[in-house]
Amino acid sequence: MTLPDPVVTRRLLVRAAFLWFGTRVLFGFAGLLAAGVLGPPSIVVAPHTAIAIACVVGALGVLDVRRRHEHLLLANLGVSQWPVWTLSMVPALIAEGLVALVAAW
Amino acid sequence: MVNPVLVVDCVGKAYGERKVLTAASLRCEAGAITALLGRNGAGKSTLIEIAAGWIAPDYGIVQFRDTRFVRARLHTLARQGLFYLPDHDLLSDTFTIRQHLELVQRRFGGGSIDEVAATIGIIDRLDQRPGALSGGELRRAELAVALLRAPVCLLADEPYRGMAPHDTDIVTHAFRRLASAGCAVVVTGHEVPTLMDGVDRVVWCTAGTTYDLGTPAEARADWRFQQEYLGWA
Repeated sequence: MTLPDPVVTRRLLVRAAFLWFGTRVLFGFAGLLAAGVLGPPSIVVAPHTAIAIACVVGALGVLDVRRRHEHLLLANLGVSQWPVWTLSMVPALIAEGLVALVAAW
Repeated sequence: MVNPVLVVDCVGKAYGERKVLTAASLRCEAGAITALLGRNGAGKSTLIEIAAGWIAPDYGIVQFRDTRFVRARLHTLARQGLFYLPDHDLLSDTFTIRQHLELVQRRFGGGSIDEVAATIGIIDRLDQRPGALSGGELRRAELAVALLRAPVCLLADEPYRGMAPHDTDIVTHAFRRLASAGCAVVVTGHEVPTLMDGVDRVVWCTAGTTYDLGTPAEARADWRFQQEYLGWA
């Protein structure tokens, strides 16, 4: 698996952090709406939900790369969409881990 | 016969009910420039995209540097020396032209950015983003990326579109320079005089298939090509 150039990687990670934040906000709203059914919403999610959120952020990262017309350039540089997906998941996984740690503390 | 760098063998592609290609082939030899000509909707871009591994054919084989692929992928072929210049959207507004060139240079090495930019006439546009360039400048900037890559095979879809005559000479010279370094170049387009004067072979894409017409002189002498594509009476 060929990783993107460090310059591209940095941008992907920063964008993915914003995407995670947006996804988490939407997830929070969904939690509030479902509060009547599922009980009071919590900032901490179960591990499998955290992984699902990271996967969604990864997919959004790939879509964002396409939206910005970077996918053809990356392909010409020998980079497939899987490293983009994986890299986009990294900030989400770290952030979910930090949220769980802070909540536990 | 020279061993080809890229062979697309008897590929077919349909979009829904519409069959764009039924049995199209393409053969690209090192050091030669091939023009892929055909009417709008004949399937030139589809054939180039299949050859580049950008889209999958319904059937047929792509062979690149002695490796046969049932499903070629652009990122795999790119690592082995192919460069695909699409008809639009190669460059992103995320980066300046210089940053695009630096990405290619760091990944694959290659020559001097300033030298390539000067050759292609975009030296004063290096620190601008693609969105700030005119159509012709953008096309030349995209070609600068391809030149810096120094590929084994370049597939260029409509590289002359929207270019002034002076710029077409620059681009033709750049293709010739690549070919003289051993690159197999394929270009599509509708600029018949420019293409016929600057290429070594002509392939005609029509009715879902392709015909290798030989040299431009041989292509001009083909009566079907004359009547159905060039429009000569």
